[in-house]
Amino acid sequence: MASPVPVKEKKLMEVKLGELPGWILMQDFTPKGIAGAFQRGYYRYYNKYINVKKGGFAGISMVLAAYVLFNYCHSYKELKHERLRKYH
Amino acid sequence: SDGAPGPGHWDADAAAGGLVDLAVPGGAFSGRRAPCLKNPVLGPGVLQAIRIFHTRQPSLAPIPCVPEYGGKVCLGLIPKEFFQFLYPKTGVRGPYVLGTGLILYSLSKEIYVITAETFSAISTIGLLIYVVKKYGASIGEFADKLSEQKIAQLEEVKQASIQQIQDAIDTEKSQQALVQKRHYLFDVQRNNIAMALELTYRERLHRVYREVKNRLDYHISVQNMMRRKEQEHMINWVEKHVVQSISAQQEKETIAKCIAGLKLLAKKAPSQPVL
Repeated sequence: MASPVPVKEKKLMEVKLGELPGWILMQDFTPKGIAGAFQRGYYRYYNKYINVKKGGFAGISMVLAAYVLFNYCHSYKELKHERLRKYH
Repeated sequence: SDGAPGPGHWDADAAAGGLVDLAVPGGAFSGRRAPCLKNPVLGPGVLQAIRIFHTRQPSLAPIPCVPEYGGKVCLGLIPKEFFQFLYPKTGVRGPYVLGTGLILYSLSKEIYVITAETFSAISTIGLLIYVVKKYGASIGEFADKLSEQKIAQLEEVKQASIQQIQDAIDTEKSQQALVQKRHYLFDVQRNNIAMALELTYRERLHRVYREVKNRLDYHISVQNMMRRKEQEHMINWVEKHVVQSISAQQEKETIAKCIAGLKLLAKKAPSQPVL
């Protein structure tokens, strides 16, 4: 498994499936690393969809959709009781 | 490491000069000397730096421009990259089929439960889509106009600053050009001074001449006066003695002779009319 590029520095899409657990474990889980990951993710999204000259609705709509989904998942426990049929 | 110092460097006056940099570990450990000028020829006023700062290329300049359009998004929700990701395996319709399948699955298994909120959500989203489709373009133009105004303002400031600096450069250049013409000024001054010197010289020469002539005239007039005085004195003296030498007797005889002679003359010329 001697690949020319060390596993740690590969991006997620380039990591082969067998190397995935190792790759996950090699990531930086210190508070600084986690904060850095959030910051990077935020700026990646921001610079791609919002910080442009002619942004569209898609920039915020994706955030809102994600929020909706998150809230739905969070309140699924209560919603389960309002199902129309018991057996699916 | 580049040979010539680029922008942002200290001018490393550095052939052999250097302040001992005690902050650098190598400098601190290699022989503690009292700080002194390595190159005493240049003197203490000249900065003698051996470390060159800012050698790397500045990585953030030029800053990349803000992109014109954002990432492409399909249906306002799903980025195009997802479609590209599925394209090799499933072709163009893959993601749509996947979406439809997921929706039907979640409905049928009641992972998504249809409640009263579903209808409010449908109407909200419908309204949102209607508003975006109808007024999206005009709102976009309005926002573009605002941002263009901001950019124009900043551009103006930048241009004004550039213009100012350009004017300063031109002024500086003209000043430098004037320096080339200083010799005219100096020539004029030199000419003035030469003329003034010449003037004073001639004035004094004339004065000298006048003074000398004055003194010589004085001596001449003294001489003339002496001679005149002597002449007059001699004449007076001669007259006095001559008059003294004429005795009374001689005077009477002379007067009688003159009268006799005049009488003779009167007799000789009585016929001539008196005019």
